[in-house]
Amino acid sequence: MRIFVCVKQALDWNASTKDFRIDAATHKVSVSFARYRIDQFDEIALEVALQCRTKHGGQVSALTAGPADADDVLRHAFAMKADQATLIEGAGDGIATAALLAAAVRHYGGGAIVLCGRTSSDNGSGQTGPALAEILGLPFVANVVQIDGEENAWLCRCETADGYETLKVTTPFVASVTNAATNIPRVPTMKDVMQAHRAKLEVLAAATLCPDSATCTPMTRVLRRYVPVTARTGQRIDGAPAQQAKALAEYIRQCLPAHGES
Amino acid sequence: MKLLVVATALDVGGRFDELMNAAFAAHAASRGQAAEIHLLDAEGAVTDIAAQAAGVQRVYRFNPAMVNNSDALLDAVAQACAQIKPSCVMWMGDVAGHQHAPRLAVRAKAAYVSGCCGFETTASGGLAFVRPIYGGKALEVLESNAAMTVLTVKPKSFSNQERQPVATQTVVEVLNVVIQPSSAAITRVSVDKPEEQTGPTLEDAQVIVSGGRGLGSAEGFGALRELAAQLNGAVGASRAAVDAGWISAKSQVGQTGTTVAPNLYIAIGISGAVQHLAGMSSARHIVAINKDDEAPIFGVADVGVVADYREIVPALLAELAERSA
Repeated sequence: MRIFVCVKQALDWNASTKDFRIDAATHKVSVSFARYRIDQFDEIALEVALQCRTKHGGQVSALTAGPADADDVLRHAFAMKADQATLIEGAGDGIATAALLAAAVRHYGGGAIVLCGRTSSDNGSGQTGPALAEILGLPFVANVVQIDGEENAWLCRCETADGYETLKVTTPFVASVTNAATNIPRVPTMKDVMQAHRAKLEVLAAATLCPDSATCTPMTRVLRRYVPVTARTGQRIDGAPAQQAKALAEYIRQCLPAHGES
Repeated sequence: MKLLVVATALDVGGRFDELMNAAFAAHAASRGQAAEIHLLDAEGAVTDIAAQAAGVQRVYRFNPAMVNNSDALLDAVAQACAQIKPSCVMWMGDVAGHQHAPRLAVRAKAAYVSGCCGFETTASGGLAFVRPIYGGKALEVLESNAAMTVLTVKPKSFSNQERQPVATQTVVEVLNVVIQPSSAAITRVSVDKPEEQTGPTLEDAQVIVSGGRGLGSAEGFGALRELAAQLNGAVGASRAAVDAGWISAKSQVGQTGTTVAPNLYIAIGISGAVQHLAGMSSARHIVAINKDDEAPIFGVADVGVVADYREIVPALLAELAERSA
C-alpha cells in the first residue's frame, strides 16, 4: 500500500513577522532573514501517514510542487522517515498545483491514500485536497486526525463542526489532515537529518507531467497584495495589579452593551 | 451576468444574511454588471418570504430535494450551474463549503477564490475578489479570467454590513436534477459529540475569553471559565494550549480553529502567533493580558495589560462582581 503525502514549502509561521512586507511589484513576501520550511498541516499529514505505516505497513511518499529549492521540505520528509520523495519542478498555483500533484500520483500508478494538509499557512485556500479528489475522481474525507486500518477498509477519525466522527472509507481516497493531540509531528533525530541530506530525490518536470495544459493553467490573476493598516489604538494599562484590574473592568464594561449584564 | 448564491440548511439565520450581504457587495462592486442575484436554496431551507425579503430575483429548488450536504448535493449544484450559467457562484466558507466549492470549480472548469472577504472593481470595470493570505497578515486582490468563478465567503466578513433593500419580485423555479446512487465509499461509523457545554458557542459569543501557552497548565483555564461565565461569554484557546492538551480542540481560535468576530475578545497568556491572529483580529474590541511586554498580541490589541494572569484575573473578577452587584 502506498500513501502519498502532498507537502508544501511555506514561510515559517513560527518566525517573527515584525518586518513582514509584501513587494508591490512582485507580489511576493519580503522578510529579512526569511525562513522557509514544510507547511504546518502538511507536516501533520506526514505524521498521520507515518503513524498509519507503523501500524499497517506500506510505503510513504512525499510529493511537493514548487521551485528547485523546495527540496528542503522533501529532505525534512526523509528525516521524519518517509520512504520516497518527489519534487515536481515548475508549479503553478491553486487548482493548477492540484492538477500537477494528481498527475504525479497517476505517474506512479496511483496510491491507496493521498493526504494533504487542511490548508496552507500562506495562500490559505484549502483547495488542494478537494481539487485533488475531484481530478483523480476519488472520494474526499476532510479534517482527518488519525487513520486506522480495518479489514478491507480504513477508519478515518475526522474533526467536525461540533466534535469528531469516524468514517469508514475504502481505498483509494483523498483526505485533508488537521491537528490534534495525537498527531503532533515527530522531531527528527540529528542522525536522520544528516542522512536525509544524502537521500536521493526524484524530480519530475511540470511540463511533461501535465497532459491537459488547460487544467494546469491558473485561472486567477493577482492584481495586488498588501498588508492592511490596522487601526488599533494599543493603549496600555500600567500600575499595580489592583489598579490595572480596576481600569480593565471599566474598559470591559464600556465594551459591553448596557443591557448585556446578567 | 448572474450571481448565484448557494444556501444550505446550515445557512439559515445569521449566515444567510452574511451570504446575502456578500452577494450585494459583489453586485455593487461589479457596477451593475452583475445585474441579477439568484439564490439556490439547495436543501429547501429558505422560505419564500426570506428570499423575497433578501431581494433575490430568482430562487431555485431541487427536485428531488437534497439533504445533509452530501456528495449528491455537489452533483446537484454542478448540474444547476450548468443550467443557470452564473458568472459567479458563492458558497459559505464553512467546513462543507470548503469541501464542495473547489470540487465544483474543477468540475465546471471555473476559477476558485477561497475565503473571499471583500470585493473591488477592476480598472476595466470588472469584479475583483479580496481575500486574506498569510493567515490574515495580508490581503490579496484577484481577478478571474474564467467564464465562471466559484468562491467561498469568509465567515463573519460580511456580518456587520448594511445592504440596500431591493424591491423585486422573486420567481421560484424548480430544477430537475439526476442524482447517481451513492458509491458508498464512505460510511459513518460513529460520532462523538463533546461534553454538553454551557453558555454560548465560540461562533455566537459576544464575549470570548481565550487562553494560551502562558497559562502554564489546564488548571489555568479555571479562572478563564469563571471570567467567561461572568461576562456571559465563551472560552477560547490558542493552538499551543490545545496541543498541550489543556483544553479541547473545539475551543481553538485561529487559522487552524474557529474564526471569531465577537464584540470583545480577551486574550490571556496568548503570545499572538500569526495563525491565532488570523482567527480573532476582526473582533470589535481586543484586550490582551500577557507577562511578556514584547508579545505580538499587543500589536493588535486595543488595550494591553502587562501582568501575570494569576494576579490580574482574580482581581478583575472581583472588580466585575462588585460593580454588577
